[in-house]
Amino acid sequence: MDDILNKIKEFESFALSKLESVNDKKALDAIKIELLSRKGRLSEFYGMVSKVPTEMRPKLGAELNRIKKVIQDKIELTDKAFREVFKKEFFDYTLPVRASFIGHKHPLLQTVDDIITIFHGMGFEVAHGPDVETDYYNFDALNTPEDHPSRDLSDTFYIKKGILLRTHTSPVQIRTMEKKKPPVKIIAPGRCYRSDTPDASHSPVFYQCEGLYVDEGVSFGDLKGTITAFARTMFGKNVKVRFRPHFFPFTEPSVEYDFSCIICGGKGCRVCKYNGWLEISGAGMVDPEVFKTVGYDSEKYTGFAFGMGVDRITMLRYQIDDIRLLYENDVRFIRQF
Amino acid sequence: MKISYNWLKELLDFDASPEEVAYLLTMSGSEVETIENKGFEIKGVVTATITDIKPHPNANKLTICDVDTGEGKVSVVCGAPNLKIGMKVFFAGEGAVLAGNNKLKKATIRGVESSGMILAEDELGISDDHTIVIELADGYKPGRPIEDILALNDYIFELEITPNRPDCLSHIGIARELKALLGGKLKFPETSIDETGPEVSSNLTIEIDDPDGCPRYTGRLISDVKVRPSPLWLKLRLYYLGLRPINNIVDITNYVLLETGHPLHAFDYDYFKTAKVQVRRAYEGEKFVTLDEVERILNSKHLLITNAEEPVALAGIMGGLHSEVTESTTRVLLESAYFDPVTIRYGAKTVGLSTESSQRFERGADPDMAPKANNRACKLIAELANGKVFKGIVDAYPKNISPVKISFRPQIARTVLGIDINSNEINKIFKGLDIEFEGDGSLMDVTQPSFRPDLTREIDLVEEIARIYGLDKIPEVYRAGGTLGAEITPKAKVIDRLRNFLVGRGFVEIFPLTLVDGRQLIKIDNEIDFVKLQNPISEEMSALRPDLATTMLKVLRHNINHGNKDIKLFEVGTYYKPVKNGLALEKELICLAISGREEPVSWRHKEVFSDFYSIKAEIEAIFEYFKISDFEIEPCNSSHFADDCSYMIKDNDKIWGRLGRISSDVAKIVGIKQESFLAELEFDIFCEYALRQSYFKPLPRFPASNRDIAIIVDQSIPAKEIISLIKKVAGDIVEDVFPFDLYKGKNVSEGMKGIAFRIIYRSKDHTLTDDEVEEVHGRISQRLNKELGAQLRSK
Ligand SMILES: [Zn+2]
Repeated sequence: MDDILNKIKEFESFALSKLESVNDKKALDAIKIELLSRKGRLSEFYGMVSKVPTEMRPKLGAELNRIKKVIQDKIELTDKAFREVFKKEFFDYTLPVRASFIGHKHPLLQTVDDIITIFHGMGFEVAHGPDVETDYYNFDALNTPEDHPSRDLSDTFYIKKGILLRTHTSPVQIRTMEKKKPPVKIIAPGRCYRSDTPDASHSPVFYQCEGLYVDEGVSFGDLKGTITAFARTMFGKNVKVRFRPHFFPFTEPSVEYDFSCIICGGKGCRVCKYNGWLEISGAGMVDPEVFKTVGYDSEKYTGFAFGMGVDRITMLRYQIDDIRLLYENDVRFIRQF
Repeated sequence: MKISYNWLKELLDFDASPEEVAYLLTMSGSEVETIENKGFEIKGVVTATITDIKPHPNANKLTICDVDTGEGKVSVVCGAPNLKIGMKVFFAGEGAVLAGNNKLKKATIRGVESSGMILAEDELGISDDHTIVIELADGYKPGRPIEDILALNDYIFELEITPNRPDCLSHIGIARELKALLGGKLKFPETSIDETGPEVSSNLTIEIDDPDGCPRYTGRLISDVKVRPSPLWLKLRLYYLGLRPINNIVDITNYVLLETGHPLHAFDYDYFKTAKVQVRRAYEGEKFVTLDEVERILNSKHLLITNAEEPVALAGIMGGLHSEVTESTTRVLLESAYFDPVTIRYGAKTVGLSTESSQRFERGADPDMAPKANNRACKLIAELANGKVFKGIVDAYPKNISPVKISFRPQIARTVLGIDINSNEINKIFKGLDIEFEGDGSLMDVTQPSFRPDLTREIDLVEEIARIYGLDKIPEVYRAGGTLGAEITPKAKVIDRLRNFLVGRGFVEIFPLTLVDGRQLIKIDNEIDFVKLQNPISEEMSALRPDLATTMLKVLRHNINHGNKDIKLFEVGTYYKPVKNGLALEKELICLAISGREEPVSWRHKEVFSDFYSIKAEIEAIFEYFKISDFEIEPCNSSHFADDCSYMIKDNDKIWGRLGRISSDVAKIVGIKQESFLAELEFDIFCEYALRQSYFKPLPRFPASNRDIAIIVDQSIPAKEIISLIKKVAGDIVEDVFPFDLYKGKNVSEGMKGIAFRIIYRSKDHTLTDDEVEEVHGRISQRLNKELGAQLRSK
C-alpha cells in the first residue's frame, strides 16, 4: 500500500514538473491526454483501487481525487496563461469590432422632432387630429364650401360621402379652437393625403406641420417673426425669409413664404432653380369666417396660421432629391442620417 | 396666364424693366414663374420683292425666284404655292437668324444654289403656319428691316394667378396691378365705333329665361365681314401668348379676351334661323355638338344659348359646331355676357371642358365689362374685317349685379398687419387699384369694383393694403416664448423614450406610406375589416393599413430584396379600423421586425441567426426598461404568424399585442424570402403602464448568495412553471431566478430536457448564512422533484 502511495506521490511531482516545463498549447493538450485521459496515467492508478484491501480504498481514492484536482487546476492555470499570451499577441487596437447593429431614426421623423423642439421653445404645444376626416373639418369649416373653386386645388381621397382623408393639417386648427378658448398656440404635425401619382416630388401620402396662434393683438408681424425665427433656428442665422401674397380660403391676408436657398445661400443653384429662393409653404391671418365657425369673436381676437411641408424641409436639409426615398425605407438610406 | 410686356406698356406708362415688373408682380401676389424672351434671336430679315419666277430644272414642285432685297438681286429656291411676281415678302439672306436660332447658310437645293429664303410665318415665330410664305401689303420698299414693320421682340411672363383673382387673367388687370405699385394712369383701349349698319334692335332680340344663370347678355351685329387671316401683329401677339391664330374674327375675340379678361363669342349669324337669341337651361338629356365635334348630353343644370330652340352654345364654355364663324360667314353676332360662376363651374366640370372662357366665368367675370368688351371687339372687327357694325347694342340685364358696400376701418389694417400706415397711404393704395371710396380717417365707405369679386369684406381690403404696401415692409415681431409653459404630453414623452431606446438597441426606424393593397389584406385574412378608399389611385394603395405588420412586411421585403438581409426595424405608428357611424378608429402600435443575423458578422462572436427568442428578447428588454412586469406570453392564432410560433402578449384582462414568426403563406403572399419575426404592441396599453411613476427603493444592504440548480424534467413543463415554484418555495429571500443553461442529449433521456437555474438569495435584514441558503435550496430540489418530477443533476 505504501508502495502505491509513494508511486502516486512520484507521479504527482512528475506531472507537476512536466506541466511546469510545457510552453505551448499543443504540448499542454498532449500532456492533458497523457495524464488525465481514460487510458492516461491517472486512470491506471484508479484501476489499482480495487486491488488494495477494502479498508485502504477510501484513503487511496481520496488521495487520487486530490491529485486529480491539483493536476486539473494546474492545467487550467497554464491554459489560462497561454490564452493570455495569445490574446496579447493578437491584440490589435485597429481591429474593427462591429459588435452590434447601429439604430437610426427616420430622417423625416428627426425633422419632425426638431420642428417640435423649435416651436415648443416659442411656446407652441403639439396638437393632433385624425387622418380620416369629415369634409366639414377639411373644407367647410375652413371657409371652403362645396362649390368653391379652391376645392379643385386638392384632389381628395374619399372613404364615403362626407368622409375623406385630410388633404392638409388645417382641420386640426378647427378641432383645437372648438375645444379651447384663446390663447391658442399649437403646431399640428401629421400625415396628409392627396390623390397624386407618385413621382420624385409627389407622394399620395405626405407630411405637414400646421401652426396656429390666436390671441388678442396677434398681427401679421407675429407671423413674420415666428416663421423667421423658425427658419433661422432650423437652417442657420443667415437664412432670409420672403413673404408673397397668395390665396387660401381660410386665411386673409394669405401668403406663401420662401426661405433663401440653404444650399447656395441665395446665389442661385439647381435646387432653387437659380432664383435663390425655396418655396416652403403657405400661411396667413386666420380668416374671420373661420373664427365665426368656431365661435371666436373676430373683433377681439386675431391670429395667424401656417403650414409647412415636412417632407420638403427634410429633403432640403439633407439634399434628398426624390420624395419616394423617404417612404421606401431602405435601411441604407435611413442609416445615412 | 401669359402676359406680354409690350402689351402692358401699351396700357400703362412705366419704366420698369421686365425683371423689375416680374419682381413687383410676384411680391404683390401674381407670381411670375418664368420670363421668356421672344423674337430676340431673329436677325437679318428684310422686306423684298419677287421680280421673276422660273421653274426649277430638277423638281417640278420648286421654283427659282429672283428677289430684289434692296441691296441687289439674288436667286432663291422656293416651293411655296402662293408666289407671284411683284409680291412683297420677308427675305432672309445668308447669315440671317430665324426662329429657334436657326442660322441661314447658302444652300444648294436639288442642284440649284439658293442665296436665302422667302419666309413663312413659322420661320419668324409668328405662328406655326408653314403652308405659304408671308405676303406683305404693297408699298413696302425692298430692304426694310423687319423690326420696322413688326415688334418681334417681347418678354412673355408666365403668371400663376390665384383662383380669387379673375381680374388678373387679363392684360388690363395686370396693368392695373402695376399702376397700383408704380403709379400712372391706365389707358383703356379705344372702343368708339363707326356704326355704319342698320339698327341692331330691329334685327336682334335677346330673351333670358334664366336670369340667375345669365344676369347680363349683350349682343351686337356686324354684317359684310371678310373672314380672313389676321394681320401679322395680331397673329404674333396671340401666338406669343400661347393661342393659335385662326381667322380675324376668332382672333379678335381672343385678343379682347386677353386684353380685357372678358370672354366673347362670335356666332355665324347667317346660320341663325330667327332674330332671337334665347338663354335657357338645357332639357334633361338634350344633345349638343360643341365645336370640338363632341356630342354632349346635358341636363337641366346646364345653361344654353339657343336660336329657334336649337342650341348654338354651351353658355360661357364653348360654342356649337354649326354656328361657328367660317370663311364663308358674312354676318356675325357678337356675344359678350355675364354668366353665373357656379353654373359655369358646374357645366365645365360635368362636361369635362376647361376653356379660357369657362375659367374666367367660373371665377367671376366683370358684369360691367360685358358691353365694353363687345364694343372693343366690334371696333376691331370693323377695322380688320371690313365689317359694318349695326347701330347700338342689345343689352339684356335682367338681374342687376350691384357692388358690395364695405365699411372699412383703417385701424383694422393697422392691428391685423402690425403696421402704422396713415390714411393718405391707404387712399393711395385704393386709388391705385381703382377701388372707389368715400371718407377717410376712422371710417371709410368702400365700393367693391365690378372687376373684383373677391373684395366683399373689410378683411379683404386689409389684404389689398398688405399686398400693395409690401409684405417686406411689415416689421417682424419677436415675442419671448415658452413662458406659458407649453406642455409636452406624457404620451409624447413615452414615444420619445421608446424610440431612443430602440434606436440604441440597433433598430432602424421606418416611416412607410399608410396606404396599402386592399387585395393583399384580404388574401392574408379574408375576414379582415379595413378602411377602403372610394377613389384610390391604384389597387396597391386602396386601403388604410389596419395594422403595422402590413407596411412593416412590405419594407422588410424591399430591404431583403435589395440585399439588406440582417435587419432590425421598428415603427411607432397609427393604424386604422372602420367604425360604423363615424370616422375611423385611429390608434398607435409599436411594431418590431427582425430578420437575418442577430449581430453583424464579426470575429468577435459566432454567427447567430435570429429566431423567436430574438424578438422575445426585445420585448423583454422594452418591458424591463419601462419597468413593466405584469405581462404574459401565450400561444394564440394570428393571421400573420406560423401556427407553431404565434403568441400574444397579455396581462390578466388585456391583450397588449402579439409576436411570432411570419408564416410561410404570408411570406409568400408578401414576397419575403427569409425567415422573419415580428411583434406588435398596443401603444395605449403600453403607455399606461410605462407612465407609472417609479419611486426610489433603497439599495440592498446585505450580500447576495448565488446557487445553481440543474434539473432534468419532462419536456412539456414550461420554464415559467419551474420558476414560479422556485419563487413560491423560497419566499421573500429569493431575489431573482433565471435559466442560464439548457441541454439535451447525453444523460438526458428522450422526452426530457435539462435546464439549469441560477437563484439569487438575499435577505432584507441580515446576511444569509450558508445553512439558511442550503436549507432553502434543498427544499427547492425536493419540491421540484415532488411536484414536477424533476431529477436533480449533480454537477
Ligand atoms: Zn440655391
